[in-house]
Amino acid sequence: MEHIRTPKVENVRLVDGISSKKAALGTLYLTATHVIFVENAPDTRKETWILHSQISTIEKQATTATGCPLLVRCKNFQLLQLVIPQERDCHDVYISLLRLARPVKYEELYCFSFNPKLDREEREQGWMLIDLSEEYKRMGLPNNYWQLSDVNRDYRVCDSYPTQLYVPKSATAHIIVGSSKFRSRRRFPALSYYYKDNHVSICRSSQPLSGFSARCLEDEQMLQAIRKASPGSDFIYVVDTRPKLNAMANRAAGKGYENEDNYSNIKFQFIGIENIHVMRNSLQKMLEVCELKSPSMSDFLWGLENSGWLRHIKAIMDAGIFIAKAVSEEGASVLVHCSDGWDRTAQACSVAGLLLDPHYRTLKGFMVLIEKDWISFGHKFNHRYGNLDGDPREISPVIDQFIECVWQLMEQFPCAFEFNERFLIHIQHHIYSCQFGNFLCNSQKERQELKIQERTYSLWAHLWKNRGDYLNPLFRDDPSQTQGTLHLPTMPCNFMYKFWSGMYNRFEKGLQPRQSVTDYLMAVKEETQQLEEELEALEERLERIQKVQLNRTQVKSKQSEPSKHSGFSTSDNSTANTPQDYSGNMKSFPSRSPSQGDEDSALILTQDNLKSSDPDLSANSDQESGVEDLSCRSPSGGECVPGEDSGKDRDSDEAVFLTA
Amino acid sequence: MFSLKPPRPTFRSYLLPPPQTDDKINSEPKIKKLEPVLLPGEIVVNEVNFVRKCIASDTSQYDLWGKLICSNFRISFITDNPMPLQKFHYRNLLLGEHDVPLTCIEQIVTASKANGIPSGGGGGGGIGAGGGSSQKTPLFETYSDWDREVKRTGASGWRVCSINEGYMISTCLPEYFVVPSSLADQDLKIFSHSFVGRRMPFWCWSHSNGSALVRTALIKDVLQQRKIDQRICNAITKSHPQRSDVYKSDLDKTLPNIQEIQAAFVKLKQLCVNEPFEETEEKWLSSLENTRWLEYVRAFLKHSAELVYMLESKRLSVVLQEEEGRDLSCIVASLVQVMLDPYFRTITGFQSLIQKEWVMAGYPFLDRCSHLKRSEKEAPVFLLFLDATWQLQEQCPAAFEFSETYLAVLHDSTRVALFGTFLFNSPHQRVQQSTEFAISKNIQLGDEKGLKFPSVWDWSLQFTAKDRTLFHNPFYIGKSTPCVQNGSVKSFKRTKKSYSSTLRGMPASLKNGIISDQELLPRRNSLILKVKPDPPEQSDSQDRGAEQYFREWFSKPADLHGVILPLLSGMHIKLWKLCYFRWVPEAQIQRGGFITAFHKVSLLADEVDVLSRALRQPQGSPPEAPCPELVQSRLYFRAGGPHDAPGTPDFLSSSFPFSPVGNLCRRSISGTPLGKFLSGAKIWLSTETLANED
Repeated sequence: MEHIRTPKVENVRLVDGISSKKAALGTLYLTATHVIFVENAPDTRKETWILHSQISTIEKQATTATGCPLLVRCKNFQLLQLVIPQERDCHDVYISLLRLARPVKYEELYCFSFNPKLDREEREQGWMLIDLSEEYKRMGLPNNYWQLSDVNRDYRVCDSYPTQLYVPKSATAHIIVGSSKFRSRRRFPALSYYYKDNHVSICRSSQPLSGFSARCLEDEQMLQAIRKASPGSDFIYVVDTRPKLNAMANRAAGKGYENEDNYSNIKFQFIGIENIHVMRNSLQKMLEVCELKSPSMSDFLWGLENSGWLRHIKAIMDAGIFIAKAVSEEGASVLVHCSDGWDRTAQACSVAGLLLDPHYRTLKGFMVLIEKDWISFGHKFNHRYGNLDGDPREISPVIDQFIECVWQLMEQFPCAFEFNERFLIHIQHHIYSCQFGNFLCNSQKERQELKIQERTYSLWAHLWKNRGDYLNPLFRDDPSQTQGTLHLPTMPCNFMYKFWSGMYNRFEKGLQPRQSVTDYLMAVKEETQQLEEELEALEERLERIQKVQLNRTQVKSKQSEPSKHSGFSTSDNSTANTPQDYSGNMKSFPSRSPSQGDEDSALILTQDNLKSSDPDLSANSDQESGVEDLSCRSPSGGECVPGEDSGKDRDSDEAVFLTA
Repeated sequence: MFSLKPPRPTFRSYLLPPPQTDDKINSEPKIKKLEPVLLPGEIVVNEVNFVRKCIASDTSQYDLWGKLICSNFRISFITDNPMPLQKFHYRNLLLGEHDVPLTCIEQIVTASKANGIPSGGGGGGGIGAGGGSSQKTPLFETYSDWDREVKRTGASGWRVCSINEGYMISTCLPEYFVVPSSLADQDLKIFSHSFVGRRMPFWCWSHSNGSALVRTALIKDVLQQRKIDQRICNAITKSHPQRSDVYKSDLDKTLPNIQEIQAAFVKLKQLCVNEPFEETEEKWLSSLENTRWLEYVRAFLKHSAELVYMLESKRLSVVLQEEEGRDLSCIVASLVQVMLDPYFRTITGFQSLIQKEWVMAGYPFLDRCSHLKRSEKEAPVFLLFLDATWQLQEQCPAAFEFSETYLAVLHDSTRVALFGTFLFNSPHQRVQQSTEFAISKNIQLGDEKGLKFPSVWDWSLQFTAKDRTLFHNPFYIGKSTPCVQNGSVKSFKRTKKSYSSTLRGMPASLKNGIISDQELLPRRNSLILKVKPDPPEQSDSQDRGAEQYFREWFSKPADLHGVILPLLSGMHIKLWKLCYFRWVPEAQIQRGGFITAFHKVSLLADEVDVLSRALRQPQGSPPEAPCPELVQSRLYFRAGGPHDAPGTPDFLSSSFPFSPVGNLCRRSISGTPLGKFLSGAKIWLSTETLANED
């Protein structure tokens, strides 16, 4: 609170997004965790909430007749312009936000004050939802060749690795420690994924400290141990996800890559994913394209191409596809690394996992995947996503790229994923929001020291609780379909990859398609379910009537074995949100005939009338009560996904009921 | 059929039949049995045995052996080899899997060992339609069709005129068309002389608010220009219930011309079909931009959307002016009507629209499709319209009764020269040419005006009923399905729970990029931040009005039975992959692509159908034997029984129902071996990369 110079400024104009023309007049509040803007318009009093941790940059623009504009860019790609009447107020807000957006201590982050009103037990259970030891069990480990090693107990060997690691049985502690000394940051080869079908593994590490000629016997033994752990294959692939030149440049610094002559039976392969700096700049360029107002065809296509973003996405996909093919088609184990083995390696391993294992395409499996390849293996969330004030050169959209890869796959295989786009967007949001403890710090060790699990809540439990919102209606958990790898085009071309407007332009409401397949499906699915229920109810009623008739007239009337349509997969629909109150209505048979209304319009779900009435998503704007005390009210409660849903107007909700 | 080519010297095969090692039976008698199934009137011009059809360019192991015949209609390859790789999921009843109609052949190349036919458009048609829509497509050949259309739109102040009966006035107008009631036949006859091609203004469509859409050729007579123009405009104004002004749109000045469209398409084809992707990969987006095709699609959509604003919001009648009024006007008139009138988004309606604004309005199919000799006038104007329609469909999936497969098949059908629909430059030409033909062949015409050709709308000629169901869009929420219930079926009520669209957020109370304000547009490649403290006021109030209109439209829930408008910013216009990539193996996603969603949705929609039908069954009465047309689903994919849990069928791929295999333009059909997987990928570097590598 001591950083807030002015808690409230009146008569501020808010321009929300690039495509917006009209500015809304309202009051700006600064709280310890949020920037809140409340519109003056009495009928809506629309609220916009921005978490401090979402703020990426704040820019003071030239003063105009209406006031001093502040341009706020958010990490979730929201763009706001605040026009503050008084220069002094503007400066105060600016200075306050600069400080608030860059906390120096973890304790300042929102997750330490966020209280979803769960008791201790619930919180602990939440943290237990995703259990990596269960995941390794699912892979079929331990087995004859792989064992759980305690070599990294108390983080003695590598402080950015987890304590629980699977290594080949034949790799002794001596080999592991020796190998770790020959690898950047002592990140020795450890198992990331075990592919049961072929008994082969995907392992990960950092680059070897080979320089131009250095060798390490233990490291060579380590790779051999990995190969021997897959007796069916006589070689392993070593995949260096960096461009070859980058890897060569590293040799001058005593690092580098494996020399095929020194390691027996390896096949070495470069892939060419660029480093974090290139990626950061590429995103910057792409966002400039997003900020174009009504871009022409050439603005858009040239801008997108010049940003190189989709080319980078393709490189990451290529890495994943290469690994997946090696494992599933050639039956060879793969060791993946980049420089430190925590950025590109995480991307490549998790994309490969997603391609290989249908489990990772489920809601829970995807959480496990992120927990395993990103959180546990020491992806530096704090540095990459700038949660605490730090070196801006460390910031890079590494996991954003992975999330986009998943979306690209979802676009190509619309039925293969249990979750939907919203799930990805919400995960991205929370990686930056710091509302939950999952993505704090740079390593497991740091998180343990901070006692994250005792002091914060788990995002996974929250997402799981609301899983109804995240389901892909096209997905069917059907073993014959979901088992096995996704068959990607053999030569993935650039034209396969698309611009993800739903992510990068998601706050530009006018830019989003009016309808989506998902919406229709949800509607159709619901309608199917309702029809089924009504059919059943009608049949029941029919039976009753017939019984009555039978009783009265004792007429045989052996007619109408009511046709049984109950076979139409009710069970499937349980995954959709069960309409709550229909069963109650069922017997009363409302007299309104659908033909009275615009019969089918009820099926028409558009973006607008789909507006969130979900308490969770709109809680922060649902308060009917006065907003006068906002400045001192700590935003808490169930408010979980601010951002795109944070502003809301009631009109659209009414539209839901009007069309219904 | 006029393209009967002179017989060439007999084909000879220089190839030996494949060595049949495991097959005891001699291949000789087999091949002898291979006889083509000819259509009535189809004549085999030439044939040759022992022809090998190459399936893959890098291996001969999948090649098929058989006989090649050339008839006056098609080139046909007959084989009884099984086709392990070529999977066809639909059958054209006129064309076999290995047939190419002569009019579809762009170029024949003599290859060193085999004859390759680069498939420019498509090997064999598609699937047929009309299944569910039993209504007949109005052809607008008769007075009554026009009269019905006038009545359907509720246009008052307009009448059908018959002055062109027998094509006495213009040879490129239909015999009947609609004109302002206040213009007398006599006046029209006089005016007609002043118009290019004697194509005087004729009515296309009327909005329920009374404003009309009219198309016209230019007035070539400079002296008379003002006067006639005045008279026409006055007449159109008089036909408007509010006597609103007329808004004139000069298409030649605002839209790309047909040469540009053709050039763009040639480049697009080059990019999508002929070029190896490894070479274009890194420059894919700029190459695509470089074709200008998407820009043109966008231009037509944008212009049409602006005219929608004029008609709907400004309540002005719109006159489309074009030199001849036979090309760009067809696209714009059709798109405006598709956006404004939900009828034209049904299959019957869409077909009637094509009859009305293309076939009868004298779109020169013969020239533009280059059916006869290679024509200078070739231009894919019709395809551009289909593409633009696809963009609308992509943005409003539930507003269209037909699927994208239907649009692709419709495009293919322009290449099958059996149907009269797309064969001529005008209805007059059809009558004249076929009459001459009939006379030369001593065919008695009787009362008929010219020979009757099969209509392309009779899809049953080309496709089975089952295949035709692929034309139906499972997302379509039409008014056609009646919901009858004895007051006992409650309407579908959505739960309060909201679904995924919210993930993108809020209604668009914002500008949506529908109209680009030119003065704000940055120059190409300049990425200036467009957020300005105070957007400069726009001088043109017209533009502001249009923008306001679009913004309002986008801020409201879309009414699928009302106006639909497209989003037009660069990121919203997409490449129609099914149409352009369906022959490209690299672009094929096995068990993926939109078709998998289509499949799932079809199953769901079918379940809904079945259930609502079950509900509709009269209570108390025994379940009647379901009448056949009810059982006949409108969907290709049917929901199975209770225990049937079909996943994505193996045969589905992103190019379904077309098969990209066998397209020799592409390198390979089987997967790239892992060893070669990345060899093509260039590992490029910037100086930035090295400087920052740690």
